[in-house]
Amino acid sequence: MTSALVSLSLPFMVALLLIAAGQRLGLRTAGMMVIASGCLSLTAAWFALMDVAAANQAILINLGGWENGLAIRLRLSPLSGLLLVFTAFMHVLIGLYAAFSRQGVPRDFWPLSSFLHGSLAALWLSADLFNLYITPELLGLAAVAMVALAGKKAYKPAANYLLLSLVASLFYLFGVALLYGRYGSLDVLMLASQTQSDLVTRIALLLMTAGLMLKAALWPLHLWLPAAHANAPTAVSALLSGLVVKGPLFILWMLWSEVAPTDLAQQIGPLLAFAGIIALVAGGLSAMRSAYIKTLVAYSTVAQLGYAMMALGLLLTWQLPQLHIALWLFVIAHGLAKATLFLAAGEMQATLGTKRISGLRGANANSAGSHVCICGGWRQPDRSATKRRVSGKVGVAGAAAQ
Amino acid sequence: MNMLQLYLIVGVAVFLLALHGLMMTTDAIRRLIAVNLMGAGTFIVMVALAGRVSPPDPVLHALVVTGLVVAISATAFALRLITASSVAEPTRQPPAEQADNMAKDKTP
Repeated sequence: MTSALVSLSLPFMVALLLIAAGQRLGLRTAGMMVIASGCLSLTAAWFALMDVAAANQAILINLGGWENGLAIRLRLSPLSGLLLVFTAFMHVLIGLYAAFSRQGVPRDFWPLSSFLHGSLAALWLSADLFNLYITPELLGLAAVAMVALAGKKAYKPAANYLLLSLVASLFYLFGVALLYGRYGSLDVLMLASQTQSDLVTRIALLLMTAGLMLKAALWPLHLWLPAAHANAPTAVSALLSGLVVKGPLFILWMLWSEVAPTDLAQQIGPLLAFAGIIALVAGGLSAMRSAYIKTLVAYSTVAQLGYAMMALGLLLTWQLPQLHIALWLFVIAHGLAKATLFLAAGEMQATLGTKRISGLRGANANSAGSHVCICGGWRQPDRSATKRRVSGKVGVAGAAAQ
Repeated sequence: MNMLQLYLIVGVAVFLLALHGLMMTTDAIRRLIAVNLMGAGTFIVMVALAGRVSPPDPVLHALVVTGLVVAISATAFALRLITASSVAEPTRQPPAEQADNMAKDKTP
């Protein structure tokens, strides 16, 4: 657990240090510091993953040594370990791109990116509902500030993003208040054994689900995503699409697979799966119609999130443990692929000086590398989707055999 | 009807009215105020729920204080973004290099 805490606190410390140092540090030094801390955090996350794999069960820690129910409890499960590694790895990769690409990034990118990294790590480790309100809030503020880095034209999408994210948190908070009023506990593990399918629980879970779906840009609450993601600087778009939208998805998954009583989860499952399928189709169609490269990639994120949502819905309907693995493999594969895709798209956009897809004619000659990346980026979600479908089918066959 | 129920109903009513206001207006500042009112509604419900036991539940009070901190910092940030995005474009003729950059920016 210590290594997980190191992996969590390093980015926060570096972010604060960079903000305190301000102009005194050179741009290149700031970048190198963030990348170095990312590498250290990655190593720590790797050790945490090894720890939890050796322990073969989730490791719990009560911060400050308070008793259960009073303490803020952190939980390192194998999945959180894996997500810690994934987050640190993505930050190192995107940091390297930001430091060495020709376009460069504004100075404020570095502390914000570290801050985003820390917030995500805190989110993966949280195991109580209020912490799961604070961490997405930190994540949202960092993400909005990063969208605004693109300059004046991005202020309006950034302000919209912030407003929607605030509304979403309030819906979530209202649900948390109702759950606490009903059960007198905020701890996920303690709630899991107490929840019953009564009216208050239903209302609370529905409010929280609406808030999280808005934050994760799941259909039909996805309309803010393309504007925000397409207007951000390239490295930021990659972080937003690859990592940030996965945070609320994680909470949604935890809420329904652990906190909610099984019969409620089975009732909501088909609805979520249906919304996922619509997101797939609607996101795909909007992507085909869009005239701009980055908007196309952003709509593709909406569609891919539909896949994740469908997996979550089916998982809840059938209560199949195989689908948990499929869902998170898909999320990680999508994160890697989408980051590559955004970086390649941004690089082509900068090289060719056009934001339109029609301007990409003859792109092969100028930036073959980006092109290969784009092809690779497109391929990857397909492959993992096939994997997901295959494991889904295996699951169905297993259920039928029983 | 006791006081607890009254406060709960008031909290829910404020939340819903603010939500209605948020969806019906387009002005950014008004929407921000509506979001803050939604927050106020949520906090009324939380404080009312804290009073369901005696002495009042300190956990909910702590949550409300944390929620207020989040709300105030997010509101300040949102106000800055909104005011910065609505400042009129400078009318002065920009230098050649800047004009070039601006032309690039304008291609949507």
